[in-house]
Amino acid sequence: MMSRLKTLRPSSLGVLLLLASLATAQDKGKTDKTTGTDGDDTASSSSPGTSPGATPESSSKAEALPKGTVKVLKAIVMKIQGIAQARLKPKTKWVKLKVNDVLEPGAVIRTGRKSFVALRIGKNATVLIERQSRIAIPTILQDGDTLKTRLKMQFGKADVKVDRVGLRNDFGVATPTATMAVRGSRTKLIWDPVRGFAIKTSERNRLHAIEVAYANSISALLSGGDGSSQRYQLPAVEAFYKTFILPLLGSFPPAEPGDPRQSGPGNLTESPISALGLPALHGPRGNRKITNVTGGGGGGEGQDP
Amino acid sequence: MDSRFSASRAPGLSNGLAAPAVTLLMALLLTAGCTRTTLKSSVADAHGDTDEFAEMDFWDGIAAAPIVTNHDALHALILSFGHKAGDFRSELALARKRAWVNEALAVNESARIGWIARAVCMETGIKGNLTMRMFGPRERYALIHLNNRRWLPNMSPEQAVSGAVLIALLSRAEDLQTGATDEIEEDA
Repeated sequence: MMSRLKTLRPSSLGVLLLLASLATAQDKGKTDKTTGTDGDDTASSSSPGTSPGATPESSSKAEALPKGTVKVLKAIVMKIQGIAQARLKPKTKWVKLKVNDVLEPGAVIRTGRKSFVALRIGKNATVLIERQSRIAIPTILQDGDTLKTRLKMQFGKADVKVDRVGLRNDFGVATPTATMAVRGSRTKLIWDPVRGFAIKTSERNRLHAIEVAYANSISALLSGGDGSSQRYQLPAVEAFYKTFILPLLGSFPPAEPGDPRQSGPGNLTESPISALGLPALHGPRGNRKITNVTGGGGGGEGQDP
Repeated sequence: MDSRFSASRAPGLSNGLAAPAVTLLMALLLTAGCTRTTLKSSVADAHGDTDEFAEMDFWDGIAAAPIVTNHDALHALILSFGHKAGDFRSELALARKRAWVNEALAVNESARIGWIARAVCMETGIKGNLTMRMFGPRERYALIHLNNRRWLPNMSPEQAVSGAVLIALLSRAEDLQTGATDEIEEDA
């Protein structure tokens, strides 16, 4: 036993430490759940594992809109395999989907055999539409502090993951025979005329792998210095960064005093994201503060997807 | 006795004509019941091309079809199992070569679920239970096995099949072939 311990390399120890710290972060999340501080339903509650020294930019919360304000959100295509097509508006032609395509509410997606398409919908949901499916997205919007999304599944199979981003989640899936609400969970929804509506366990690792791979591709797009006030030129990508990458950073264990991560607000390049296997994201350096995260810049309208 | 419930005769039919008329009527009903429905056209006629959009339009078309024709069923099976699609003749020749069907199929006649089940079992490598293993993938055994797996809604071999049920069946077959987890869970 001792000889085995002696043969452990520093890199192995590093991996073990990383795993241990991730497990600690998960345990902390569970503890918060049991004590009733659920970040899913209240916009004001703190998200699990958020660093006390976290900057406003690195908070995992999505911002609530003033009450009564409705903002239409969008969906972005993260990954495609095989045949995936969409009808962007009613009575228009089907178009072939590509990665980074932005879909507006009302789009209908169809996938072929041995195909799938992964979407990030609005600020809080990731959906993997699997083989031979027909799914419409009639509603993606933020109404005050509520993120409202509706999927209409004609038939097929989809993995749905709804994240906690500090706002209320109102995510519903309608099938020809049943309607289901998904709240802060991961489920696989299947509808076919033989079995009807079925709910199975989600392939969460697959979903997570797609998200991380997509995040990797985003950082590769903008490596190097750019002069924009936004991290990413594409507003949909910027929104994805805010709603997926930043919560990922926020779930990491709090930094120790004297840690270089605490050297300044918004110092994302020195964040532990590299420890998670992601290349360094291009963010504001030093003490420079982002003044207009969702503003126009070079990224078009600056709307969230 | 109440006269309202006494036996009444059909007006205009004497005793001698009633029996043959009833027999003829029943024979007509039986003949009509045993004849398969023939549609005017198949979805594959309009969307039988091999490009991506035609293929997806074909699936969309049969998803809404209440009855699938032999041409549609053949085209769907050939697309699903990765064979080369073509016109009805070439697809039927391929089906015969792969022993999916033995009989002649009419193009626009409603497809029997029996031969579809047999083809699915043969292509996915489903061996079935003892009887099917002993006698091979006969239509009846293949269908019973797929019914038991809940891939089909308790059908009999001569029944016609709707497009939505056919897509569900082929999707389950694809799940089995690709090792999708939910299919494995159900089998376990």
